[in-house]
Amino acid sequence: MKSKVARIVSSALALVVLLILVAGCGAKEEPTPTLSPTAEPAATAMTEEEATPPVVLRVGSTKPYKTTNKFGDYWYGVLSNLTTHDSLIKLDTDMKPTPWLATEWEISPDSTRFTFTIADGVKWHDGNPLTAEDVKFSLEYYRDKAPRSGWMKDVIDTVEVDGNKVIVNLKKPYGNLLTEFMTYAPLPKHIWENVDDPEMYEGSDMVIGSGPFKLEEWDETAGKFTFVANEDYFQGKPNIDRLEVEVFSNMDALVMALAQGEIDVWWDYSGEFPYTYVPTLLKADDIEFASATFLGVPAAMGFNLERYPMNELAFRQAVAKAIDYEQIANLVFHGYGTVPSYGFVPSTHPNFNSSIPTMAYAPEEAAELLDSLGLQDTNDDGIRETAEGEGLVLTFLVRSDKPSIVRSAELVASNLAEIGIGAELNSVDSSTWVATKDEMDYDIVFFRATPWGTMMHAGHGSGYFDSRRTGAGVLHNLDAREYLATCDARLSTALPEEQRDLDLEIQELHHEYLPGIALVWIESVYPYRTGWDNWVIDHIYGGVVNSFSWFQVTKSSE
Amino acid sequence: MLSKVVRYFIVLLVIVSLNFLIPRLMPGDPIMNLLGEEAFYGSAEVLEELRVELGLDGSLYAQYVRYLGNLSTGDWGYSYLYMRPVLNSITLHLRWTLILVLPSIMIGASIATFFGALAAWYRKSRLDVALSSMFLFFYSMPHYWLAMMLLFLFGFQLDWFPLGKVSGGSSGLPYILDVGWHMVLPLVALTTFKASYDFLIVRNSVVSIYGEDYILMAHAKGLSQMTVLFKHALRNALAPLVTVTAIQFGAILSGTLLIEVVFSWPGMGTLIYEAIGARDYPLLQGAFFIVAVCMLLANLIADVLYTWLDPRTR
Repeated sequence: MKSKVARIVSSALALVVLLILVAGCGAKEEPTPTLSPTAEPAATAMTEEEATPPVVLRVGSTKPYKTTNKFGDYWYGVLSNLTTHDSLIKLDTDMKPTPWLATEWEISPDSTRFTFTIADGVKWHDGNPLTAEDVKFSLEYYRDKAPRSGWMKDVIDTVEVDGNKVIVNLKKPYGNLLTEFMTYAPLPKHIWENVDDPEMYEGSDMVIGSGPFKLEEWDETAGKFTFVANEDYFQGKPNIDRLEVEVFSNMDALVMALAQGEIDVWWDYSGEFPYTYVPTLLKADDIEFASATFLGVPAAMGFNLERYPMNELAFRQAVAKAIDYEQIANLVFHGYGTVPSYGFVPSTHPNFNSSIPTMAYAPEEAAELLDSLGLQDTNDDGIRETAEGEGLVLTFLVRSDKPSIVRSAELVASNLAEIGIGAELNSVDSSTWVATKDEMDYDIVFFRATPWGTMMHAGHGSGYFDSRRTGAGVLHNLDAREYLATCDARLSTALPEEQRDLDLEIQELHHEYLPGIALVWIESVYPYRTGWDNWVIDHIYGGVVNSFSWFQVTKSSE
Repeated sequence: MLSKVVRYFIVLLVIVSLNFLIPRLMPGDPIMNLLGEEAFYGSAEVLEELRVELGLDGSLYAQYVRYLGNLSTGDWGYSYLYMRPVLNSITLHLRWTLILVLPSIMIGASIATFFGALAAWYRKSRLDVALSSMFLFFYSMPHYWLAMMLLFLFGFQLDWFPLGKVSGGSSGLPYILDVGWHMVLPLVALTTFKASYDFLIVRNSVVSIYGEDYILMAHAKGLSQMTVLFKHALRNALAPLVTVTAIQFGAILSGTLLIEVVFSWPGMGTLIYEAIGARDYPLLQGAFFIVAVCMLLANLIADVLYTWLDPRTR
C-alpha cells in the first residue's frame, strides 16, 4: 500500500521535473516561435522588397496597466497619448506650444474665444478621415462624460465648427487652454458617439486613434503592448516600425533587462529614474544616459496653515532655514539634486523667476526666528514648548509609496530635532494619505509635484496650493486673497507679456507666503542602449520616450 | 459528513461578511484612486455620479444586502481597478497562481518527505547533519531574497532563464514550453521554501515514531531498513504533513505576493495587493472569497485524508 503511493509520488515528481527540463531546453532552442518552415517562402519574397530589417524599439515600464481603455485605465491613457492618439498641440523641449493636429490657432484679445485650424489629410486608424466635427465631438464628450475633465464644465461654453476650424467659446477667460489641450486626444465620433459609459467600454475599436502608431496587440499575461507604425500618419511615417512596451512588476528586473539588452529604453511618465540603479547600468556595456532638469519637484513639504504654529510665517521661514538641503540632494538623490529656491518650481519652467533667492541651511537663524516667536525650550528636554507649555511635536504625513519621499521626511525630522522641534512620522499608503490630507489631519505633509502637476491651474505649482483646487495629489492649503487673485489673473490672459509678469508674480508669492517648500530639484537621467541617437526630451511626458522622438530617433546598424 | 459541510458553509458565510466589512473600514476613497493623482474633478456631483455607477452609494447595510443578493445569483461585481467583471480578473490571476503553487506544493512535499524520512532514520549521522543544515539554511532565508538571488544569478549573470513574466508571447505547444521555461525560477524559489519547512515537520514526525513498538516488530521480522522506513514508518508520520500542506495551500494563494513581484508573475498575490491599494472593494471581496473557499476545501480534504491515513481517528 505504501510502496504504491511512493511509486505514484516519485513518478509524478519525475514527470514534472522532466517536463520542466524539456521546457527549459525546448524553449531555449527555439529563438522565436514564429520561425516555422512555412514562413520561409514568404521570407524570400520579403528580402527582395526590403533590404533593411524593421526598426524595433523595446520600452520597459513598471506601470500597472489594466486595460486598453483610455478612460478606464489612467496609465494606458498616458501611453496612448504618445502612441495611438494625437493632441491639438504639444509642448516642445523649450516648453513652447507646437502645432500638431492643430496647424494654427487664434486667441481672441479677451481670451474667451479660441479658434483652431485642423490639419488636412489626417485619418483614423480605421481609414475614416479626422475632421473638425470629430474635434468638436471630443471636446464636448470629455466635458460631459469624463470625470477627470471637471474643469471643462466650468470653462467651456460651446464648441462650433466652421469648415476645418474648431471654435471654442469659453464661459470665462482661460489663458491656459492651450496647455490643458495638450493632454486631450481627439476621439473618433463614429465610435464614441454611441458609448454612454466610456470607462467601461470594451469594444475592440476603443483603441482607434489618429496617432503615429496602431495598437496591434495587448498581451495581458505576457505583459506586453505591441504597436506598429502608422504608414499613413499625416506627419509621415515614424522612424520606428515596431514599438514594444514590456511591463515589469519591479524595477530590478527592468534594470537587468536593460543591462542585458532585452529592452532598449526605460519610461515612466511622472517619476524620476531611481538613482540607486545608476551604478549597475554604468557597469553594463552599451548603456548611455540622456539628462534634463526635471520639470517637477520629486520631494516637497506643505504646511497646514489652519494650525498653530504653521500659520505663522516666521515659523515656516524658520523651518525652511533649518533643513540641510544638500544632505537630501546627496543622500536621497545620490548627488543628482540641487538646492531649490523659494519659488518652488525649477528653471525648466518658462518665465522662471531667477531673482528669488535659493534656500540655505542656516540653523542658527532658524533658532533665532523660533525664539522671536516665543517658542523656547523651557524644561530643557530638547523640544521647544509653546506659550501654553505644550511640547512642539509635529505630525508629518508621508506617502509611503515613494521611498525617496519617506527618506527625505526622515532627514527633515532629524534636522528639525536639532533646533528643538519634534516630529512624529505618519507614513501611510497613498489612499490613506489622500484621505488624511483632504481632512487636513496633519501639521506638515510630504508630497511630490509631478511635471504635469506643476503646469496645472495657473502653472508654476499653483495647482498644488490654490485652496479652490480639488484632487488626489494637491494640498489646496493656501487661501490668501492675493494669491487666488493672481492665479485668476493668470488664467484670464493669453497675452505672453502679461502671462510672464504673472508667472513671476506667482513664484514670488510662493516665496512670500511659503505654503510649501521644495526639498530638491533634480537632474533626471534617462538610460538607453547605445545605438539609438537623436532622442528628444519631453519634460511633460517623461524623458526620451515621447511623440517628438518617434520622428527624430535613429538606430545605427550594428 | 453532512454536518461537516454545514459547518463549513456557516464559516464561509461569516468569512464573506467579514470580507465585506473589513476593507471598507480602511481609510481612503476608491473614487479618488480611480481619478488619479493629477485629476481635478471640480464638483462633488461628479464624484457622486461615479459612486452610483460603481455601486458605492447608499448605506453600508444597503451595499451589504445588494452584495449578498448579487453573490447568490453568481454576480461577483465589477472591478473598477480592472474595469471588468470581478470573476474575469480573478480567474485570470488564479490560473497563474495555481500553475505555480500546485506543482511547488507537490514537489516540495515530496522532497521533504523523502529527505525528512532519511534524515530522521539516520539521525545524528553525517547525512542527517548535512540535510538538516541545508534545509534550515534555506528556511531561515527570506524567500523573496532567495527569489531575487535566483533571478540575479540564473536570469541575469548566467542568462539561462528569463527575467520574469509568464511568457514572451506565443501560442500552441511553443507557448506551453515557453511558460515552463519562465516557470522554472519562481517554482524553484517557492519549492525550496516549502520543502525546507516541510522537511523539519517530516523529520520530527518520523523521529517520534522511531521508538514505537511496531517499528521494533518490523525490524524483528527481518525487513530491510528502507522497507521499514518507507513502508511502515512513513505512513504514520505523514499525517502532520498533510495538515500543514492543507493550511499552506490556503495561505499560499495570497502569500506569494513577493515572489510574484520579483518575477512579474500575474498571480493572486499581486491582484490582492493592488486591489487593497486601490480600495477596489468588489475585487477584494471576490479574491478573499476564493481564498476562503480554497482554504476550506483544503481543510475538508485534509480532514478526509487524515482519517484515511490514520485509522485510529475513524
